[in-house]
Amino acid sequence: MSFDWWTFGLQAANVLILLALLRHFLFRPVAGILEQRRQDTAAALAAAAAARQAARDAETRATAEADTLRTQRETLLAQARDEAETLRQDRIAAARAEAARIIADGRAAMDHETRARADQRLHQTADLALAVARRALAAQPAGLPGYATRLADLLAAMPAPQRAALLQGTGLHLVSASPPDAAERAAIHAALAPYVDAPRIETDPGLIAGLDLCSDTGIVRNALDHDIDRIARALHDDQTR
Amino acid sequence: MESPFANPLAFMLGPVPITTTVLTTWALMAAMTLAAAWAARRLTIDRPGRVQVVLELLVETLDSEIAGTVPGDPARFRVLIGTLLLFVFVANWSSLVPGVEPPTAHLETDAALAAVVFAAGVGWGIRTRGVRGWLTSFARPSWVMIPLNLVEQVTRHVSLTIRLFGNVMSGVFVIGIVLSLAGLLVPIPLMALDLLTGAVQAYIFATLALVFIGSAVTGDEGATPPPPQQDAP
Amino acid sequence: MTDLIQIASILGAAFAVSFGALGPALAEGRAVATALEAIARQPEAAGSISRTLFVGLAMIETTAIYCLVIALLLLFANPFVQ
Repeated sequence: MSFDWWTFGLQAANVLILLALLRHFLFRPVAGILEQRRQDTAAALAAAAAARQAARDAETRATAEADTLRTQRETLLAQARDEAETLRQDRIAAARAEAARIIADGRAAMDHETRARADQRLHQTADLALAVARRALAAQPAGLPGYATRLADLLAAMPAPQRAALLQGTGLHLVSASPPDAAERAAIHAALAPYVDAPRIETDPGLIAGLDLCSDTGIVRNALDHDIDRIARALHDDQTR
Repeated sequence: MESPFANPLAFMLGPVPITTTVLTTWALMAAMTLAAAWAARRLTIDRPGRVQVVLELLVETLDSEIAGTVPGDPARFRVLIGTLLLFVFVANWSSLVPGVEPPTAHLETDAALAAVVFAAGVGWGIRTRGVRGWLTSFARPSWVMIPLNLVEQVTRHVSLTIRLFGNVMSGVFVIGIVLSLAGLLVPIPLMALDLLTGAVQAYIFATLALVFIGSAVTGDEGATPPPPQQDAP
Repeated sequence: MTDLIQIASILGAAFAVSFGALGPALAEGRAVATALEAIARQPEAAGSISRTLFVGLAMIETTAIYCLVIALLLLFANPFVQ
């Protein structure tokens, strides 16, 4: 049994030296690399987490902003809608009031005009009637004898054939407004003596005044109503023309 | 036949006799240091090469093994356990080189390794628990156990020595015998078995050293070797 | 006398190796059988079991190695033979 203590000591020293050598040349660099990589990974993870957190924050902020904007928009919209509604109601009310006023004005104006026109027409009618009456009355002779004289004049003025046809007709008679008394009848007969012999005299109050000569073949108007008619027609023609 | 216990003398360095074992160890140390420096120079963070991946795997496996055995920061024992593992492994496999006898096939080397483990256990025990705490750890579970604990301290390190020495030396010895009897090519299967034995013994040596140191640190004298992790060598 | 010691040393070495190989052989066989059983029961744990088996086998083998060391000591470093 040989145990070399020198070799033992040298080998122990060798192991310790190798320990230091490997520690310096192998384990420390490799462990450093591993640690560095772990730190890098941790840093990258931390950065990623921070980035994710930042993104989440930004998202939250954006959502909040969007909410705020939506709320604001809705508020504005509601406000605008309310204003528009109010404005519309105001406008409608104003328009209704205006329309009512215009209608009332128009109605009033129309009433006024209608009244004025009626007045005017009344005046015209009155004037016309007055003129007609005045002119008719101005042309009237005095009493039935006068009318008889005028009838005779009218007959004389008529063309002969017509006068003859009239006088030849059957049922020749006179129409008076009021029944003549004897004197008047005599005067009438006298006046018409050249043309007709004592004609029958009928009474018609619608003539107002005057004396017409009627037969089956014609009529000679010589009464106040006829004059009034004629004058009124002439005046109407004058006015309308 | 040459005795497996013999230590052939290489030369004398003054009064110090330098054996071939020490010479081989120096060569292995130089080779390992050069390789480590060469590999550490090419370390990068983003583009690890094949060598760097192996080294990182080694360090991480060491850390996980240590963390599974001893509670606390695994970086404390990383250098010691890693160096033991690497040195024993490289020394066992140095028999691949023709004419080189593994340093671990000699009792002095294994005894030196076990002595380092023993010194580390004592050192870590005192450092972690104080002199008093470390001394009282021998009186567990009671003071009657003190002689037994002391004997166990000796025997576990002696068995650590003999285990490694016997395995490696017997491999070398058997290969030598077979080579002298049968000649070329026949000892190749035995050499392959020797390599396997060498790797396993390196792992066992490192694990046991870790268990011993861990038991000195935690005071758990009855500590048993933990089941190997998934990524054990 | 020296011859007798040498003969005894050789016989002791042979007995040490042979009987020293017996126990570890039985133990290793038992360990392998149990490991195979465990692997058959849990094939998914085959990697872990076989790794543990290898380490255990090496530990068991160590006892045989001890015997071998004793035998070699007797043969090559016998303190009683000078």
